[in-house]
Amino acid sequence: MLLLFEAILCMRHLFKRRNRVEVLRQMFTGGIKSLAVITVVASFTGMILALQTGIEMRRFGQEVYIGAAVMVSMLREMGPFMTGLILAASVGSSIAAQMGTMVVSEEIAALELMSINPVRFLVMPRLVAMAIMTPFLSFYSCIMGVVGGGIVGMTQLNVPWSAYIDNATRFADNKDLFVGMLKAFLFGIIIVIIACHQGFATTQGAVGVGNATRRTVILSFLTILIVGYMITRFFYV
Amino acid sequence: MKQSSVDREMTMELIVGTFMFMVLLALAYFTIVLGRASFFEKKFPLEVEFEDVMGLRKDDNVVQRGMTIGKVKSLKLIEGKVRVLAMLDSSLTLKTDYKITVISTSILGGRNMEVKVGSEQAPPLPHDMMPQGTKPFDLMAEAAEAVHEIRLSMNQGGILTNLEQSVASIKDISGKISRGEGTIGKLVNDEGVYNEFQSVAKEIRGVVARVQEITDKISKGEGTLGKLISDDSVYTNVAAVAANLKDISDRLNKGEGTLGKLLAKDDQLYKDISTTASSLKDITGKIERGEGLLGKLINDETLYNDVKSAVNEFRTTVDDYRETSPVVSFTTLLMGAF
Repeated sequence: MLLLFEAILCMRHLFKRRNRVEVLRQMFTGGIKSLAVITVVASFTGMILALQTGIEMRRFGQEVYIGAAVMVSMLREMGPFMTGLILAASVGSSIAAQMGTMVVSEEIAALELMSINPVRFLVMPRLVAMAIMTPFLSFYSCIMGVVGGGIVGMTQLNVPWSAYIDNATRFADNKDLFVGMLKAFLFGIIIVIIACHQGFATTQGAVGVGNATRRTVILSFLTILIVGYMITRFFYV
Repeated sequence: MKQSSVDREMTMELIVGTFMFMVLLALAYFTIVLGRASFFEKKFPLEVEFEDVMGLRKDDNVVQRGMTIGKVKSLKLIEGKVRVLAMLDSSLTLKTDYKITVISTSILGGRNMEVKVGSEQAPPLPHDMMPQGTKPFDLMAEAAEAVHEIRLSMNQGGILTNLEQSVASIKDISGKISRGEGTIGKLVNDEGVYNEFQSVAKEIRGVVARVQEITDKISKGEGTLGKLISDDSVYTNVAAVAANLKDISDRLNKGEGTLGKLLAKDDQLYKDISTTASSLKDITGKIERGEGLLGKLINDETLYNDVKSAVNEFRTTVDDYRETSPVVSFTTLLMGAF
């Protein structure tokens, strides 16, 4: 939590060119490079959702409503959750490993010796980059999921695309969209803070780096699940 | 080297920027679609008051003849009624016999507000009058109530008890039948009864054959009954008799003839007969009282005796005349010769 506050305090240096470039680089590394895996995971998540829901709803002749089921599920939960997990596993572990290696190779100590704040130099750009990219990636994963569900609806369940989209947009609203993006925003912050914290706390050389990476992934997953539940409870109960 | 780094940086910025721009565009589109915002279409408000909206929600469809013509914009509870504001795609002119109700879209839920504007010949609804929604028909609630009533009547109305008693009775009856008790039991179990039934059936077959024979004769026109059925002259005679009777009854109704006059509303004949009877009664009374010649003749002994002696004298006179008439005749002839 202290690390988060310190990173937020360092944001006053955000608009310096060097930091801007670093933020863009982190957005590219953490976000754009994750697009492929997010596309596949989100599409198949939507397809599975549509298929499972559609098979059950077909018993009652209501398979046309799979659009609503997929859209609401993706916007509220599955989009942010899947994006969070993917980023925690890829970007979070990467950050933890990078920070841990820098710690064990005393690069962090060297930065401090040069009076360069490692939080400002390393944590803040990653925090900003992930805080911006995660909601966008989450929204992108929602679109991919809805498209995947629609393809399954058309090909497997004989639901016309227009009916699928009509039901999808009829039952979801802006609250679902923006609450989902808020979740993703918080997940992005959580991933970076946990990864950086675990990285900075690395000891015992290469083994410590491995442990830090493992702990980052586990802690990120657990925190994402708990925070996701809390936000859902706060907004929908 | 530096140029390559700058190029790489530019490419990276371009990719990130393009992605962000596209996602932002999509986000804006989704926000508009999910917000159901329509910036350029003119909407026509329709406010309706309901006693109960049965779960109608904001953004539910407004339908007319099965077509979606708008959406529910808001619902407010005002003075114990629900005021629903709907935004329609086109304006509606409600007639006085309009009907607005909340309908279910499926058994899984979902509601629509259905608008029936009313018949063409009906006058339009005044503008200052708030349309009143009809109380919706809640199928599930009705079904639940019906089930509840059935359960109540079964528990409290004694249907279950009656049913149990009926089942016990049926069980008792079937037991008796299987044991061969009673007529049906004997029918089922006793072979003798079966044989008797066989002989009865044989007799019935004989009777049926006789009946068949009779009906054949009747259909052929044999015998009185056959003639009645097949001979038209009987019918003609009966028809003629009926016509005569009708004629007689018509004449009676018209007051023709003695009987007709008697039955007629005009009681002149009755009065005449009554007067005659009265006169006769009067005459017989006088006769009884010995008044008048006839009364005296009947009641007065003296007159009888006088008449009797007069008759006797008259007879004597006649006898005398008879005896003296030849002498008189001879004398007359003799005297006549001179």
